[in-house]
Parts: sequence; C-alpha cells; structure tokens
Amino acid sequence: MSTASKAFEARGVSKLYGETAVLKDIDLSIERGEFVVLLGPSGCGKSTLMRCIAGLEKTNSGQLLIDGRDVTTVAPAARDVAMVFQSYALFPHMNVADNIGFGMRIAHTPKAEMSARVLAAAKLLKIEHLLDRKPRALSGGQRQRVAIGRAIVRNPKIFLFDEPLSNLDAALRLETRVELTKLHHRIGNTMIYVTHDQVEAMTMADKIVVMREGRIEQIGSPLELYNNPKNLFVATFLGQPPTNVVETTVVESSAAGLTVAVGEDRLTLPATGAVLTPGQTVRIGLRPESFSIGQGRGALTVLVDLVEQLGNETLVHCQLANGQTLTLKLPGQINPPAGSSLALDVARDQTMIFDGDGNNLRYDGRAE
Amino acid sequence: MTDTTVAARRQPRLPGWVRRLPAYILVWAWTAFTLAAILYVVMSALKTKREVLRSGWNLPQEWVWSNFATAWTVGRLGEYFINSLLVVGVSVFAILLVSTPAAYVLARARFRGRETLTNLFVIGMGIPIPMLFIPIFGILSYLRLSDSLTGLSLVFIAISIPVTIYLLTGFFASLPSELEAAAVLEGCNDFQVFWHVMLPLAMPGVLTALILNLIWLWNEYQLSLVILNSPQNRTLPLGLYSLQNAMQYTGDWPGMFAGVTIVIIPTIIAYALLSEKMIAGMTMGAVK
Repeated sequence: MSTASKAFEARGVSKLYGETAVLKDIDLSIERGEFVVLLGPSGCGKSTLMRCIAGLEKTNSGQLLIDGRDVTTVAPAARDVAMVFQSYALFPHMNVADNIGFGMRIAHTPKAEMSARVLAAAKLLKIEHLLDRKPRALSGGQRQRVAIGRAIVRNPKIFLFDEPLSNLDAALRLETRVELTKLHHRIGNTMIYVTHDQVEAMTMADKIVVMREGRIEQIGSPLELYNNPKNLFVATFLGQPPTNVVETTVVESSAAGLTVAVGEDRLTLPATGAVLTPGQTVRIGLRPESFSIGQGRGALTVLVDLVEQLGNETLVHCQLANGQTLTLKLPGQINPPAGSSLALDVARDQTMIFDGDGNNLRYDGRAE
Repeated sequence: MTDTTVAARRQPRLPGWVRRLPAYILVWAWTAFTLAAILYVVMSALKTKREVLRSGWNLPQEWVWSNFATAWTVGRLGEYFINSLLVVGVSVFAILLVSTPAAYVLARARFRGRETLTNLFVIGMGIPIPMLFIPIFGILSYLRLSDSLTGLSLVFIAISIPVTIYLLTGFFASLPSELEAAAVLEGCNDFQVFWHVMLPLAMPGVLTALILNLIWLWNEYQLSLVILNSPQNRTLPLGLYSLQNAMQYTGDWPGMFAGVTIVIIPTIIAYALLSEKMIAGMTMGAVK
C-alpha cells in the first residue's frame, strides 16, 4: 500500500529523556479508520509515543507522518489531531459549551457556526442538557463525554486517547468502552488509544501494538496476538488470568511431535520445527482455559490449592507435583476440595513453547 | 487487634471541644483585642476633644462627624488619600502585570538558567529594606525622581516583585500540566495558554498577591519617609504622622482618630471583599 493512504506512520522514532531511551526505533503504520491500541505495562513508552504523535513531546530521531505529511517538527495544533486525556483536562473555569468550543474560539470561528457544531457534538454524546454546567458540577462519566466532545467537534484526522477510562468505576468503564467502540464505528476517524488494560485492548482494538521498555514487541489483531504471540511477554500480558508458564524437559523431539516431561507426567505436543535435544529445558505456555478435567488418568496431575467461584466459571489454583503453580479456568461450577488431586487434559494445539530467550517456537510470522 | 482497640478506649480522652479550647481562647482573645482597638479608634473619632480625654470607652454623647471633615481638609488627608490611592493603585497594577507572566514562565517553561533566576528572586526577598535607603535615594536623585510619587511607585514595584513572583510561582506550579497540553492541542500559542487557561485558574493566587501588596504598600512608611519630602507629595501614613505632630499644638485628638480611621478603612474593605478568595488561594497550593 502506498504511504499516502496511511493515516499515520512512525519511521525509526526514538526519544530520550536525558540519557534514558524511552522510545527505541519505533516503526508503526496505521491505516485510515483503524482503532489502534497501544498496550503495555507502566513505563513501556506508550504514553510517550502518543505525546510524540500529538506533538507535546519532541522526538530525538525518526519521522512522524500523518496522512503522508511529515509532521515531525510541526506544531501540535497544526497536526490535525485531538487528544482525550486521562484526567480529561477540562478547563474548570469554562462551562461545557465553552470547553467543547474552545478550539474554535481560539481559531476565531464565527459564533453561529461554533454553537451549531458544539450542539451537534453534544447531541452525539447525549450531553446537550449539560452545556451550561461547569466541569465540577459533572460526574466522572459526564466529564469524560465532554472531553470526547471537545475532540469530536474538531473532526480531526486522528483521535488520541490516553487511558481515558482509568478514572471511571468498573460499571461505567464497561459502558463507556462499548460506547467508544460504537462512536468509532459511527464517525469512522482513525483512533489511537493508550491503555495498560488488556481487556480494553482486546475488546476495542482493530489492531493492538504491544510495547515493552520503549520497543514494539508485536503488532496484530487482538486474536492474532492471543493465538499467536511472538514471545513470552506478549503471551503472558494478554489473557486473564495470565498464561501459565511451566518449565519442562524435552524427552523426545521429532517431526511427529514433541514430548516433554512435567515432573512424572509426559505431555506430547505438536512438532515445533525447531531443533530441540532430549534433556534440554523448555518453557511451555498453557492458557488457563486450555485445561479440562481429564477422562481417566489425564495428561497432568495437580493438587488443588484454592478454588474461586465466578458463577459461570471456576478458577482453580493448583500445584504440579514439582511445586510449579497453575491457574485453571474451567466452565461451570465445580468445587474440588483443597488438597485433592485432579487429572487434567490439555488442549495440545493451544500450547505455546518458548526457547531460552522467551521466543515462541510455534510463532507463525506470516500471520502479521 | 481487639486488645488494642479496647486499650485505646480505656484511655481517658477529652471531648473534642475541650481539646480545641486553648486554640479557641487564643483566637477569640486576638479577635476581641483587634476589634476593641478598631472600635476605640472609630468611637474616639466621633467624640469631642474633651470627651475623648474623659469618657474612655463610653459611647459618644453626640456624634461629631465634623472630625472627619477636619482631618480630611485641615489635616490634608484628602490630598494624601489621593496620593496613596495613585501610588498604591499604579504600583499594585504594575507589580501584578510584571510578576504574573514572569511567575508563569518561571514555574512552567524549561530553559537554561531558570533555577538561577528563581533563586535570584528569592535572594531579593531577603534584603532588609533599610539597607536599600541610600542606594535607592542615590538612584532616584540621579533619575531626578526623588521626592516624586513616580519615584516612590518605581521603588514599591521593584521591592514587591520578588516576593510576588515567589508567591505566584507556587500557584502556577500547582496547576495540572495536562490543561496546558490540552490548550496547546486546541491551537493556543504560549500567550493564549497563559491568558485563556492558566491565568483564570491562578486567579485566587493573583488576588492573594493583590491584597497582600495592597495592604503592605498602603501602610508603607519607611521608604515613603526617605523618598518624599514635599508636604504635597505625602502618602497617608506620612500624612498621619504629620497630623499627629500637629496634635501636639492643637490637641485635636478626635481629628487624629478620624485620620486613623480614614487610613484603615480601605484595607478593611478590600480584605472583606477579597478574603474568601484569598483563603481559597492560600489553601489551594497546599491541597493539590
């Protein structure tokens, strides 16, 4: 695809704070209309990358392009982006209408046009009855909408969201998440969204960018990342509860399959294509939901530590014979007593195998 | 857990109001003292010469409003009042005009030498004013501004800038930086960010600076005494002093009390109007 059709592109972008590199050689391209989530733990550089896109931070090297135009040194306001901040950053001394219309007021937009556009944005977000209120007289959810309204009214090429849901309570977060996704479908602008919450990322994104320590670890659709993580970090970061990582010893590796020893138990997994020698230690990744209670002897034997009932499913925390812990997510309501042993079957094709550097040996790079 | 709570309950604890009593007594005593002093001054300003010396705390037998007229015209406090109003008004306006943007830049902008500059202002606050009498007088004479209200204003402005900048820097530093970022993204240049967003939010701080400067400059005596010589240039505190000197010959004490009332009323009014905002301003930095 030609560059001109990309909504956003970063080419070799780096950013230093003093001696510390917070962004290291970032390459990223985003198609028009995509909802892209930058996901990673605190301090991974996702917010810094977003602030660089907005122009609030200067990059040390590399290029930023919006709609094919090099904006690396362009002033924030001239980049045609709008940002919703974590704290909403509403101007406390202005009412809702003035907050939403602030950019137009600065640009000396005629009053009639200004009020029409403010009203249209307010109606879209169902806050037209709040236009005269000051931010302090609004609830968290309402403030959030006003902040989004201030972004929408400018109809920017790119929307930037910096953890916009993190200040809302759980119920409201779920509701707003759905509304944001609907809003994206309705207005269709490109959106870049920063979060450390993998549920938000999985549910909202067309494309997730997983970041760690200033680098991009993997880019892909939510299910691509979930099913085909590039490495241990991506595998454990996505999914709740996190993937179980178990140390095993290779017993036999051939084109037919890989057999590993987990304590006394033997697991036979599909072949990896990598050269593994018997006696070598490999880590395998087992999603909590890839277990089922075994028929007969089962593949793995575990001792139950603790059971958490969620109603529709049950989380079972247990131990392998060699002391390694596992978390199982089983459908329905079961209640094995603590200290009892369970025989488990494992969905073998969902298993991930990691080498010493944490790379997924079953990663299929073509999927990206 | 249970043991400690039981033990805590067993300890004799005084009721809240008893524990706060010493503080209340102190505050009420202070308030009573201040109010009594003001009341005495105002009451005495409305008495006859003879009654002031005799009746002490009694209410005036007849209300002699003409004392104020005497102080205003014969004591020339009318002229001095205008002088004070001009000097203090212009000075406070100029101090805020210079200090507010300067404080914003010192609090927010990142540039080489920012800390040095901030420290320079802090050092400026520490210089005792009497040390400056001779240099100030020298400079003003050189500029041919000694014995002039313009000269006095310039000195007031120069001396108040460090403490005002110091005060306001704290306010601006306490404002969330995301608001600035939001304003920048909405298309504001640096000045517009200051004018439309940061200045309105720092208003409690600016009002605090305004009232503190207003009160100290309105009552300022030392510098005015050094700089001003001509009777027609006197400000109110100097005027009051000359009125007191005159009393030695005329014995018109009610006139002098009327003069004192004229001097203190404006600051009381200003404080009454702005104190709520000022308290909000003083606590803002602490809570944020």
